[in-house]
Amino acid sequence: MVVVLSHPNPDGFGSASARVAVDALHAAGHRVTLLDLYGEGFDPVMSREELHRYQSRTPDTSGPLKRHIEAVTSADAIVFVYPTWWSGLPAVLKGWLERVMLPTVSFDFDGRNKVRPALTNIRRVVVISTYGSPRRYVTAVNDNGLRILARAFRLTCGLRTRVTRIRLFSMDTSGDAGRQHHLRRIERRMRAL
Amino acid sequence: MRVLVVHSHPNPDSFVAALDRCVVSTLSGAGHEVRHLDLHAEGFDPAFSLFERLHHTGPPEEKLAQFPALAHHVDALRWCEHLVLVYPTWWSGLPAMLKGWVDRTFMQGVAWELPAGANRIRPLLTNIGGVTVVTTHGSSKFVNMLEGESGKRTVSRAMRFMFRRRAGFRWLALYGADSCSAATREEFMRRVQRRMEHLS
Repeated sequence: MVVVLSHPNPDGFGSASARVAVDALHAAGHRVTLLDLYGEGFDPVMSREELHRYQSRTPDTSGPLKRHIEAVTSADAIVFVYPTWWSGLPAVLKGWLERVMLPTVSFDFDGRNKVRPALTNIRRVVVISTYGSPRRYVTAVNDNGLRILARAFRLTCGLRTRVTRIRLFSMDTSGDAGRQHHLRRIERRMRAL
Repeated sequence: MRVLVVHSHPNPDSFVAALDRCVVSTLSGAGHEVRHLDLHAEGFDPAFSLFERLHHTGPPEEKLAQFPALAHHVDALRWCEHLVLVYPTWWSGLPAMLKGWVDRTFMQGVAWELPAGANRIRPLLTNIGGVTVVTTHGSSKFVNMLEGESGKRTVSRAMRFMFRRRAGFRWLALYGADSCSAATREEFMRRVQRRMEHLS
């Protein structure tokens, strides 16, 4: 199991929900790798050199990204924990996708030069996110962060990979009860994974 | 018209960078006032920080004092009447660099405000009457439809809702850019140029 956390505040609610997820997965007997992107100061910017190697299909998979790549290519499930900003992923998480989901890592090309998924080891994608806006507004603007993970990213996993979503809307006004409910849901769903 | 052009591609020799130059020169040639932000060239930091999180609802001056590099971005946003975004679509969305630009510059007091007691934000960038996207997708239109066009919806909805009521939205996208011919690219460049000549 790999948990990818992208939250700027280690004392914030997002980080707390990641801890709940990690503990519940541990308790259920899974081996868990936590990738705390803000914690390790992950740089989300795709450089010119990196993009060149991406496009020529010769990415550097042994450099500083090696640990991330190994965690992802050996995971049965991947859990994303992040706040939704402007209906999408925080730049740090979006940049993580761009830099780690490389050709030969998350997808490959078949004999006819067609893109084929390479992360067939991942059977479950879990999206845990918080929103300042109410559900109605998020539905109206579209949950683009979820969509990137549940569609674009999932296309690199197996066909039968399922998506679990655990979302807390109106988090600024949902009060303590709403937050506790969210944490309990995370715990329950992670234990049953 | 006052137009802000934001470019987000790491390689100045890329097709997207060429599109960006075409946009800027065509707009200037057509008599518009243009400001240009090249995020990679200026080394923009797209990571929304702990400070910004903690001062999320505070006045913009607080954040601009902490991060002076954001000041000319905020100025340009408040100044422009039209916004043009030039970027490659990656993983069906905005590149992290550009998403981070939105995360950080669309701050409280600049792009929106939250009136006391409300749980819905109110737009402040009402100086912006339209937004145009110039982008390339490596994969086909069909694949992007399956993936749900997150980038398109981020701009046409989440961002545009901070602009003037009924602000225009124009989507200029080249699909299948990884495999298309040079002629197709040139045709797309001409399309972009025509659109910029007639921007209104």
